[in-house]
Amino acid sequence: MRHRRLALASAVSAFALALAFAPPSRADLAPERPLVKKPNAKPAVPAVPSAAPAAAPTAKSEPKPAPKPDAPKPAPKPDAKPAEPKPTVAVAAPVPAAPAPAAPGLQIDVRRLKLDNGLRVVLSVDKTSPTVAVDVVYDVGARNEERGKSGFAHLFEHMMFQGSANVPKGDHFKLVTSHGGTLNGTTSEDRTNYFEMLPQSELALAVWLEADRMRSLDISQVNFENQRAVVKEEFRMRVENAPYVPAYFRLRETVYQGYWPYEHPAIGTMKDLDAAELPWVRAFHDAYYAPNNAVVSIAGDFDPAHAEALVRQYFGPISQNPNVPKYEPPAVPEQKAARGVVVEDAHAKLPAFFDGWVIPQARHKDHYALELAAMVLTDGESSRLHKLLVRDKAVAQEVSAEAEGQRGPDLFVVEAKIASSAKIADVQKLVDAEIARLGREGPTEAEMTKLKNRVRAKTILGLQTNIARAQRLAEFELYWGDAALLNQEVVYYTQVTAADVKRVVAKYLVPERRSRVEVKPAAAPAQEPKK
Amino acid sequence: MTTRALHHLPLAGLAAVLALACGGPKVPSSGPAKVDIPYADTTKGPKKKDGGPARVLPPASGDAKDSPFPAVESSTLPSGLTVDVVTAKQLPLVQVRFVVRVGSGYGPGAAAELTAEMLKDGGTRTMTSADVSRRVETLGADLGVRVDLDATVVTLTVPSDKLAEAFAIAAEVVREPRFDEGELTKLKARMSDEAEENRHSNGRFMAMRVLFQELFPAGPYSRVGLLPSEIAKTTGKDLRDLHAKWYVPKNVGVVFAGDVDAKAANALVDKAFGKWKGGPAAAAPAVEFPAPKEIDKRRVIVAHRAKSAQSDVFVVMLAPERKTPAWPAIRVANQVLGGGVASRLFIDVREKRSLAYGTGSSILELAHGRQPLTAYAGTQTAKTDQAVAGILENLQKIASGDVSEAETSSARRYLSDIFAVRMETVGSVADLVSLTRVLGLPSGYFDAYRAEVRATEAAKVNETAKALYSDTRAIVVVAGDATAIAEPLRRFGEVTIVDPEKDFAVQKTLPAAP
Repeated sequence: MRHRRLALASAVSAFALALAFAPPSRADLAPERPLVKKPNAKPAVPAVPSAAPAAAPTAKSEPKPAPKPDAPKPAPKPDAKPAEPKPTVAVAAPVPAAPAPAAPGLQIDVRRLKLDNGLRVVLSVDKTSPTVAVDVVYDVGARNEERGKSGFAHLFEHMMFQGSANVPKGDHFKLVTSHGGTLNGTTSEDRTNYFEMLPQSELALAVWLEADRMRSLDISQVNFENQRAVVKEEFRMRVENAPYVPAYFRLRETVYQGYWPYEHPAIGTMKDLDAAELPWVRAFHDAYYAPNNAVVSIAGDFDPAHAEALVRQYFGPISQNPNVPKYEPPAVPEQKAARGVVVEDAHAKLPAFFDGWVIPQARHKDHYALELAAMVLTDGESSRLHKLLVRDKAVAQEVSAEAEGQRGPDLFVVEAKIASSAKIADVQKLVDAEIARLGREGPTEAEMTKLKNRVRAKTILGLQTNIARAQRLAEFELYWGDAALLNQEVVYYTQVTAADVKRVVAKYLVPERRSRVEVKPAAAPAQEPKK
Repeated sequence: MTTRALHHLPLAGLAAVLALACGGPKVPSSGPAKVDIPYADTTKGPKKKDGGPARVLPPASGDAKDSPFPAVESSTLPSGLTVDVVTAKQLPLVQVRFVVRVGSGYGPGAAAELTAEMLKDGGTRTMTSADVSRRVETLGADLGVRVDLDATVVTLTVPSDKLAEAFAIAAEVVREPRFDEGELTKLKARMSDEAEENRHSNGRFMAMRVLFQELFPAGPYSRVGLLPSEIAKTTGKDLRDLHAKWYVPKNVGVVFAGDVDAKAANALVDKAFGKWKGGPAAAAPAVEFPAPKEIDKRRVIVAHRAKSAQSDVFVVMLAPERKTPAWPAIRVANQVLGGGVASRLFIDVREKRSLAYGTGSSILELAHGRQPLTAYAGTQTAKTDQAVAGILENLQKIASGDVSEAETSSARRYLSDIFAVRMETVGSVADLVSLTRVLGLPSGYFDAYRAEVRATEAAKVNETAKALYSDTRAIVVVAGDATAIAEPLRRFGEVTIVDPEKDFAVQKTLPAAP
């Protein structure tokens, strides 16, 4: 249940990388073999040794992270003010001293600069693998959409692959592929990004391609109608045909009611997609796709001086837009009583429920503690709720808890799919009791030891690949003003105490601030195949 | 309920918001009537084409670096158990794979899959299942298991300073599972619920189940995925028997990748497996892999998924066996047809015909014998026949031998070089090494394969494509709402409708349209 929801919540991509549904081939993909059984180990892993002697690893023995969807989301250093990127010159940003270093930070190489046109640039050299990733993140996502235009940031993202001044439709795909690379784009509530992963020899191509479409988008009604149809297929796949996803959307509506930026889904609605108009594309590009509203992040095997020269050459001449629309969200309306909704779902076979609470934004000091609270509850098979509900009592098929990690007021979600032999109300009582107990008693010492080991391992795992590092650094630069803060994230988690976890659970995860969406499987379909 | 909410639901009317409890809003808010976040009118007119001289051509490539597959140090214990080690010290982590060459259909019923899950869910000789997970997770490690058509793989991801302790636990999980009956009962209930869900709303599961059943009426590949009835009839004895027969040293390999050297890795294996004899048999049982049924004419099978908004369309053909010398050319041909965003299916079915979000083609690799080859598109129910037609036209075209040198060049460069990107994690490396053990590929395989890919010419690709693809000798498998799609699909051949929720029993057969 969770993975399907996350696919949507975190990002809506331009296309299904690695054939979401067609079983992948073994030869060129990390094995993800034809069906049968999902691996239940965490995916992915650390950087690989290039046998190439040129690979001069950066910091030995210290992890080089790379971003990852299931790595614990960073939360802002409490009260951290976004630091202004350092101007002009490439300077290795000093790793901020850990406040009270209970554990060492990571040592990802981070160099930051800012062009005269306002473009922020992050360079992170790691020669482990002879590859490079380029990620361009724009400060616009679904949160910037107006009512009636939901899903447009994502539809627009698709249009960014339809051609630019020097790149005809289809050539972006062809150029990257024919140079041994791959690419994609994703849209979330908080931002839109575009990326390429290539052999290190093709860095210039990626930078050139990204600059070309930042500067000049080539749009036509035909291409627009084509991508509208493609996105509608994506909607059918990810939403209409996906059990539990509509209920998750309903949860966000219920939790954030009155707070439009996060109340509506990044993929929008069919109605709004149908209403979108071609001229909006141009206007959107003009408004948001400017160097001073973006971060370019490059990670991997490259010479930083050369990379900087390429960025200056291709992005430098692009004019800034002094009038990027301001993002001025309303306050989240105060919730004074529990909320509840029941949703019927024809594709679901088992009942389920989603509980949601509004919590502080990522990187708020309480957010770190809430992330650890989520881990106490459901991270791993020895976690409290997994052990209790799935294994010991066998009343749930799966259960998960997560602080989603948004840059604005965040969402803490607990979700459980109920075993066919169990009653949803009984499972809810168990979940409620376990959350209440965590708020009363906090985690045990043994749990805290486990959490800290796991946070560190997950962080390292999540930052192994070039693209993971590029994306995470870009987001840190965009959201929090300094990519180098990423190195300290592990330290902040380490500083969380059992008392902190207890306090935040008692403060935020209370019944009167909860929204609950129950999923009721629809009755057996009325129609059977005609005999 | 707002209009917006309606659109999110699978089927307006059926999947409706039913009730509001606990003070939930009667009409969910959609936020402020108008959020003051203007964008459309802030700048008018076309985007300026400012910024320096227009460039017509993309920049040239820089100097390429070689990216060979990392060195693998391989050895074999006297018992026959193999050990492969890839040392990569950049990160303080190790990935371990315990590869057991027993596929999902090698044993009776659901035995192989239940055995795999029960390795850790059922406890071990000295540890309960709860002990296993608590101990492993406290180390910051993760233990998992996956099963595919030819192997069961236990995976361990662990910080390198905790490797010895975690490895010992994982080895006991593989070697000495307890198969606790109480845990088995619970596991069967969980897996049965999952199987019910799959056959209710997982289109890909339905299509895969059908296509393997059609191609392989008997043998280990005749079943992919599980039905509740298969889970129900599998017993603890089945699991113990399967473990005794298949989990023997000659049928097991251990793969390490990451921050560990061969000496240390081998010492760990020696300690945990040096005296291990496995069950009574010295080697795993011999298994027969019947050849797949030839596809002599085109026909259609619809796995009925009620109320499906989309159809999962798979056009199925047969590819040669995995070890054929033509494999690199087959991969290049497949890349041209449906291997990614520059492929024909993507460009035509998605970007031109607007029929799908996800489309592509792939070969479902098997360790033994000929393998299924599929071309896929996920398309809205009403346009299912158009998507099938689109795929078939592309098959016909590529089978005519029209692949250009430019397409070949792009595909082979991609297949060769994307390896470097895929190998950025030691997990991928560990999985690729494991794969060589499952498929029986020689050492140095991946570098040789990439070299052959790079040497593949268009003529060879066309020769291969002609033999590989066909729009007439193909089975069209569609998971979708039969009440809406079966009739229009008759134009492609006889249509058989099966009902996944009744163990895929045939419900009806419609003759081909004249």
